[in-house]
Amino acid sequence: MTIAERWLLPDGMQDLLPSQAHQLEQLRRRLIDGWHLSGYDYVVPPTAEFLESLLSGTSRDLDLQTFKIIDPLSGRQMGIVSDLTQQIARIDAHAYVSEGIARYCYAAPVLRTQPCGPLGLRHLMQAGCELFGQNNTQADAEVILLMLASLLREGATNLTLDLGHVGIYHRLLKRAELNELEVRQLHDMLKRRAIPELQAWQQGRNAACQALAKLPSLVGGLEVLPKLESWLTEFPELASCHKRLQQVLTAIAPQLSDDIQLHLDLAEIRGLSYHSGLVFSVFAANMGQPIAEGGRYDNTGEVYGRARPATGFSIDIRALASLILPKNKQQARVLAPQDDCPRLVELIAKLRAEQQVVLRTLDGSMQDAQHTHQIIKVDNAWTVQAVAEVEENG
Amino acid sequence: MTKQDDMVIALSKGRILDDTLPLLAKAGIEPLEDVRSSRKLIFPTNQPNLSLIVIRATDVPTYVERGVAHLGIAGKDVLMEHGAKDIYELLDLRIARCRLMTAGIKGVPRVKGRVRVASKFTSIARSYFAERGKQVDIIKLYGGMELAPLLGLADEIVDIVDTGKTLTANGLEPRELIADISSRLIVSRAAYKRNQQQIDPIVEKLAAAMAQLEV
Repeated sequence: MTIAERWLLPDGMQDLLPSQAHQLEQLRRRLIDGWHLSGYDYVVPPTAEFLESLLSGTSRDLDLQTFKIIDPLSGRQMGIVSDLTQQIARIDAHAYVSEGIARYCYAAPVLRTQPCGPLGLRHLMQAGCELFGQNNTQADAEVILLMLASLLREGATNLTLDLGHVGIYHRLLKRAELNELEVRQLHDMLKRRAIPELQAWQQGRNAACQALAKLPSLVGGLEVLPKLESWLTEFPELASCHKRLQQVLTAIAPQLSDDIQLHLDLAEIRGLSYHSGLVFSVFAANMGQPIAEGGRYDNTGEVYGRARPATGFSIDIRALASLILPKNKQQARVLAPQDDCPRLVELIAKLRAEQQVVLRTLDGSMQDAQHTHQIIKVDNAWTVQAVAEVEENG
Repeated sequence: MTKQDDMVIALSKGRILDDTLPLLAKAGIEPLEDVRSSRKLIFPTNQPNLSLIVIRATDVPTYVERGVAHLGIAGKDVLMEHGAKDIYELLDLRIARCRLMTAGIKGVPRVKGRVRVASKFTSIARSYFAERGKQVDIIKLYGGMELAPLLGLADEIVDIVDTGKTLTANGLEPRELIADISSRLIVSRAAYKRNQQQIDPIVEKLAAAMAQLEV
């Protein structure tokens, strides 16, 4: 084994180093505390579960993204968590059953087999909120506004909120009468917005197929809604999607700050296949992936024996941190001499109570790699001085 | 209102560039200096907030997918091989057209069992043969593909065929068509969501320019 093999990390894995790790942890706590104040209860699901629990009712994408191991105790296959939403749905359906509305929040690391997210990592810190038991507009609006408020409160600016509704795609697909292979091809073309290919594909096909191929034209600002409305005579089954989009927009639009630009994209079919209704994501400048995303996934709990309406969002905390936190921010560190003087002990306790970092020298040399201040004795009194001042005076 | 992002279009070096620049010019986008003779990598254009970068064709999808370039022009072969997930292919620019084909030594029948295939398009080659129920051994080469069957390194090759003259000159024959190739205008998914108002006019102008050039 070479020396490098002992310290090299696998692709997409990253240490969080001192100042960065501390800032990220503070960000995580602020998010959780904020969500707690909005009534979202903090839960911590396990890092690995049986594969059936993790992946039932989800997409092949998520299956491919999940690391798998064999549980030597049961002989069954386990997965290392790659997305927490399914775990929260399991908790709601089975572990913590409540009849009314349930709100949960979480923040935990997840592993992915493929690099993903704005930073292209395989080790993400996923934080989010899920709301179960209500399928109305207010629930959708609450979750979207909570997500945006969390991002703005942390100092993210110049964001784009992208709204879609995967129900439109699913409903048209029902009418389109396509076989499994054709659905896969269509899905792929829509994901790539391969307009030339879609145009060639829809020729000679039924009206629902033609509408599916035209989904990429339902993209833009608020003018998209009247466009969708004009489809309703031919496709009355899309009326509920149109209504929900309109209602949610009416509910959230007055509360959007100038820092958020709204974009509608009714051809957005990405995401994890459990989504069933309104979907949304937040994009920041120069990031190829959203920093936050979510949507409605009604009835996912069915696989655990309890179908419930559900919606929620998750934020990639590392990506958010890279967007908002100053790099190399150094907090003041005060170095205290090794002295038993009660007045010194008192001063140290007082500084720490004021959230100041105070560390004691261990060998009396008053040397520490990163201290910015020192406690020194001036005229028989302990005082804190910046390192530069100490050197000048010395 | 949120502020407008500065836009970057990533262009592929080489043959595609010769066809791309006139098309961009027709669409009203012109670099302020000669892209082909300069050693620079970033070129401001006559359009405010719009610059061009000129990079290797295979790098274009990477820049666009990561969102550091907002638009790009890349061959369909490169896009298929890259397997880009977060890229929209809005327009077939119908430039730099060619065919992606399999080829082998003229008159030699395909070997039974495992076939050795040399290509720089390893993903395309693997999935093409797999779809036809053939397990193949892929040999990654970066150029001079025609040599591989001649020296017995591979049984077949997967490569871009333009006129087919290089194949014929080396005693090879084109066999199956994998895909017709041309260049696409690609857009980063994130950029499209954020900057559709800036991107749509560029797409429309390019579509109009294509129509003009083809008449």
